[in-house]
Amino acid sequence: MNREPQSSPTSLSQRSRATSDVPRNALAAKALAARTFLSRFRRTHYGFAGFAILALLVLVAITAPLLAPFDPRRQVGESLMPPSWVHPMGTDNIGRDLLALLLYGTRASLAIGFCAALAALLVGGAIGALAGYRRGFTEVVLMRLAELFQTLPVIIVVLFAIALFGASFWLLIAAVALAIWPLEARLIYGQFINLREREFVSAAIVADLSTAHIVLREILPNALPPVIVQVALDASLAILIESGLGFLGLSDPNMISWGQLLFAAQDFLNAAWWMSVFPGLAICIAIIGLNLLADGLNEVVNPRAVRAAIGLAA
Amino acid sequence: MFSHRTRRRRPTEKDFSPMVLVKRLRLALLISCLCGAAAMPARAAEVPQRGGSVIIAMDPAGLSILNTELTSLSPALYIADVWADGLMARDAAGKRIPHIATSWSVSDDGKTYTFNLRKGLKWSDGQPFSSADVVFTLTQFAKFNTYLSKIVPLIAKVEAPDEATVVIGLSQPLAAALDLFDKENFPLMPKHIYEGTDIPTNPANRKPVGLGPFMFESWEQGRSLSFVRNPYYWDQPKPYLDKLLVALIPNAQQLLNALIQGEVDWVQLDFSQIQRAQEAAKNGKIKVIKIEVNAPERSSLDFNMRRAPMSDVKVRQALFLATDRNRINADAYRGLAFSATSAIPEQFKELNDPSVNYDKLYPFDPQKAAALLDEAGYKMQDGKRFSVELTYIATSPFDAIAKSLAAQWKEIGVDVRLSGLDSQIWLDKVYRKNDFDISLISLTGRSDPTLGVDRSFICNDAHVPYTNPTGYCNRDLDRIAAQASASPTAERRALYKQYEEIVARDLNEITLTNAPTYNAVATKFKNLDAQFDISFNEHPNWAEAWLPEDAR
Repeated sequence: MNREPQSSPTSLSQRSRATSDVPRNALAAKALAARTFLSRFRRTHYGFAGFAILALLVLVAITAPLLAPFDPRRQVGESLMPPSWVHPMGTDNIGRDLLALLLYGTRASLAIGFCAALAALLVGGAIGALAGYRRGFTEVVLMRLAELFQTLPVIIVVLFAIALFGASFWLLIAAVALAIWPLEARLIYGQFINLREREFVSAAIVADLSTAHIVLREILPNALPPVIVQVALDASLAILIESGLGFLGLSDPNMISWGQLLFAAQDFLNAAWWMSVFPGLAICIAIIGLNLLADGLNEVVNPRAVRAAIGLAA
Repeated sequence: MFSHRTRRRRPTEKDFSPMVLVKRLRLALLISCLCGAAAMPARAAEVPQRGGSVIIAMDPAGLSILNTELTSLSPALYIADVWADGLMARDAAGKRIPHIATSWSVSDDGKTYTFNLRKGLKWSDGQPFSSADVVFTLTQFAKFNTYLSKIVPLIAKVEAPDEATVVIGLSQPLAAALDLFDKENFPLMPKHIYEGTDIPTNPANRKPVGLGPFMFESWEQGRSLSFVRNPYYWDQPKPYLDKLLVALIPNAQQLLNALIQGEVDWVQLDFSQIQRAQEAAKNGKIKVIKIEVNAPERSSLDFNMRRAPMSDVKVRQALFLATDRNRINADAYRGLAFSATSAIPEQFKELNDPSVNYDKLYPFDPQKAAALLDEAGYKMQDGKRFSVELTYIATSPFDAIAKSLAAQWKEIGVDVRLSGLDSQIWLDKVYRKNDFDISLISLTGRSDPTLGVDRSFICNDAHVPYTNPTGYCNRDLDRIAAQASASPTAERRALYKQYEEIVARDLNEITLTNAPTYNAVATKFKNLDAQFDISFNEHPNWAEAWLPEDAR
């Protein structure tokens, strides 16, 4: 492939540090980009805090069997026991250990959050890229479709999908992805419309590169940064949707998730506060973590916008 | 009085300022008024007064019509007691008491039933009521009525020899026939409204005209219904209350909250709320009432016997042995239900034979269960024997029972896939498509095994909701059930003993718990004892209760 580094700015650094020398070596450029990205990210306090929270949650999810004091599916004590040394978060309405349930619940909630956001990125990304690059009739059809989905309230779309197909883990992910893909599609579409008019794209077209190459290797890498922020936000949205479904009793009952724990807790708000407080806190922490991460990423990707937002712009 | 005395202090100078004097005078006046007002109801306590209103609250759960000849949805049944009436009702001990019929007689062969009706009654719209309405209701509505459909094929003749007499002839005796004609199963419907119309779509199903103490006024979908005193009610001067409102509140906890805060006056309690209600009742403003002779409400597991491994009786027995029913009662029913002992509910004291006892036949014994599964050829492999699906409606108490069962069966290596569904989808899956492994539901026993129990065990090819979905068919059992339904009470117990034994052996359905019924009511109403002199599927009709003037 006759690659022209100057005309294909594949990294963040090249775009944002316009005044610096353009590295000749693509590998070195990538390494530098990653390094500057990380160092900038570390300097955004929110972003780093969010990252730390998420890393902790992922660690908990992986090591749940080691951390949990009991098997979360066994009835290990009487029902509705308040927090004690044996059961630090008490027991639920059928006598399962709440701490164990909460630790295992991290797995389902994170898995749904990440998988749904990833699925939304793939579907939304493909549709947005196609619409933004091809324009014309394709654009009209695809973007109207995205708008149609956006006008429907997310929870209604998900409830409808669950009612039709039942609630298994993968269907749940598909349903959540179905509800949030237009967000990604519109974002990538906007990026593509903007980027396809740039000189490096024109140069690539003149150089007779394949469409796939232009879309995937030239435009996409430059379109991604703001999308990554959206993915983090989507993951938090997906966790919230799953919790909402669980709360309504519509999530997959074979899965242990935070929302499911809240469903059983509804009837015992007065009798057993621990059943609702701890899962509620867990959801809160995960959502805050993801939102902080998204804020941090946004600051790196789009520093001027953030400064403007907090009143620091010149 | 005591509190007034303790609050009185020695007067100080400041107390004689004009403002304080005025306040004191006002206080004195207020106290004397209050004392007077308090003394009056004490005198009037014996004499019921007219006036005031009551707000009853319930979860509307799909309420679309009010006519309980056409639906057996709980909220419709609660409301029907208010606007509809029937030939007979029952007191707290389960004894039949006259309502629209003043007396009734059964011929010696058990085939002819004669009802003598009250004369000069009017429907709530002022049109006269007569025996023709009773005949019309039986001939036109029975085919839509889940419970009456039992008697339809047996009816040989329905006659009204005069305005106030109805004679019903059956082709063969049916022990539970009188039960079928009580007001819960057979609310009377006006001929002048329904004659010549399409019954299921008649607008009167949503704006009913009945013989009950209250008359329908309006229905605000999803929020409330309102009823006013029926001026033509047969038992004058009842009802004493001017108005009855139905508040539709879709959550068990909110229902009780509303009652505790005095926003509503009556709820039927969900099990998760009973303890809290009893706690709240200590302040004296509300009262928890247990319906002593209730229609048995039994949580049951149906096994789909068309499929392996449920087709193997040893597997069904093993699953029963592996089920800790005391634990389920403690968790899902907060210890207020009890373990069912056999197919015939314990509430039917004259019919239940205690010699068949599930607690003795299938005590909680995971080791024995595991041995039985080994014997049946389902050996433990990698901590698992086989996997089954357990389907249920995703609400309380089923959610808790299902998760409890999953935890208990896991101990013997049975992997349970939980499938908690919306009620309509569950109904379709279990009863219409028979596409399930094991299904969990709570079934009402009504007031006789013929009405509420046979449906779970006798051969059933139809796909009617809440009737034997298991594919089990035993002609011997069917014969015994038919014989028991047609025999005099004294001979029925011996037959039901055989019935219990067959079910205990074959276990197409296992009965887990038998739950009582609890209501909670505001204590500001008088005459609550008479109001709650009810049993089985009956709910208060609010004709007896009255409100003293100061409580309105």
